Amino acid sequence: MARKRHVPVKKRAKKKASGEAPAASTPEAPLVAPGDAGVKPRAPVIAQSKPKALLSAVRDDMGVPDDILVELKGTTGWLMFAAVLQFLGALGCLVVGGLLILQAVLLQGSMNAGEVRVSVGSLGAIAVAAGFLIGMFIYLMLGLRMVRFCNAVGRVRQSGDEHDLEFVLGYLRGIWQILGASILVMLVLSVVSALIAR
Amino acid sequence: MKTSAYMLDAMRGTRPWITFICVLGFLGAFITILAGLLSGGMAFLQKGEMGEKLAVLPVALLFLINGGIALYLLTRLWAFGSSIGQFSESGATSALKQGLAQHRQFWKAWGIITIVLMSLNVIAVGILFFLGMLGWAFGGGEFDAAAIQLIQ
Repeated sequence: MARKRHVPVKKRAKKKASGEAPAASTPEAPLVAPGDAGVKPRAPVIAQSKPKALLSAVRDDMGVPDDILVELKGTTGWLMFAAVLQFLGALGCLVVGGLLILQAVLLQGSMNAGEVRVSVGSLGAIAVAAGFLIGMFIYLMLGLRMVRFCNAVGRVRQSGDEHDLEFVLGYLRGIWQILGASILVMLVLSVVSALIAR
Repeated sequence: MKTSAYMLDAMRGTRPWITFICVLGFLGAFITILAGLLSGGMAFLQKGEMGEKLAVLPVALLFLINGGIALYLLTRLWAFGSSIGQFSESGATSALKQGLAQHRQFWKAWGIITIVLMSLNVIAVGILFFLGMLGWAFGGGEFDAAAIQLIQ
């Protein structure tokens, strides 16, 4: 997609209030009245038509509409809250996983000095710790993606540019991809652990 | 606003995951609600004292509330998925706006429910801690004695 001129939202609002026409490079909708079939030049047609409707059409064509920006702004607060919870979850997983590994090391250390084989208890602790570390990785990825989404929303709110909205939607896809994949991983892990327990 | 191919691709890539999460979630929510209904119903159908039957009621209610909350959130998510589908087909800005509005509503509902549940957890832990301290102070370490003293 070709990049268009950046027009901040606040500036666009000011222009709308003052009645000044924003500069449009190539408007999507033709600025020609029906029946003219694009024969007449643009300037006289604009002068003959309703100026407010035309201005609105040009403004909407220029960048991300304000109502989309409002929806995105309303999402960022809650997603930032969710991201903080993901980071806390990652920290919790790291602590519990670390403690389990420590337990495994202590269990192994309590065996006789000559014994080389790994104890069943320490193996089990390591397996559970691995599960927690996978959980930590998922929480961290999800939290980071959420923060990136919020940052991208901040950028698109400042620029009002469609190219920045692409980044926002890309991060949105990433959030749901990670969420779905993590559910899939948890399902597989639970089935595998149930099979091992049998 | 011009809808680019990347925007459509991003939304098309989002929808399968939303559907996957919703299908699994609906399954889980229905099982939870069913478990609540069955545990409550079975308790009242079986012979026994009324007190024992009533004791099962909070657990059944908890299952029903959990299932209801999940169902509510999932319907919001499903609506987001539907809007994404409309946007993917038409490429209309209005559909994208509607989808993002549904997305915002989902996260808002999720956030409010999470805050409420976390607050309830903190309150419950606080009450248990308080009762435990009472037990330690007045009941010689016995939780039951503290509870009896509170009731008396």
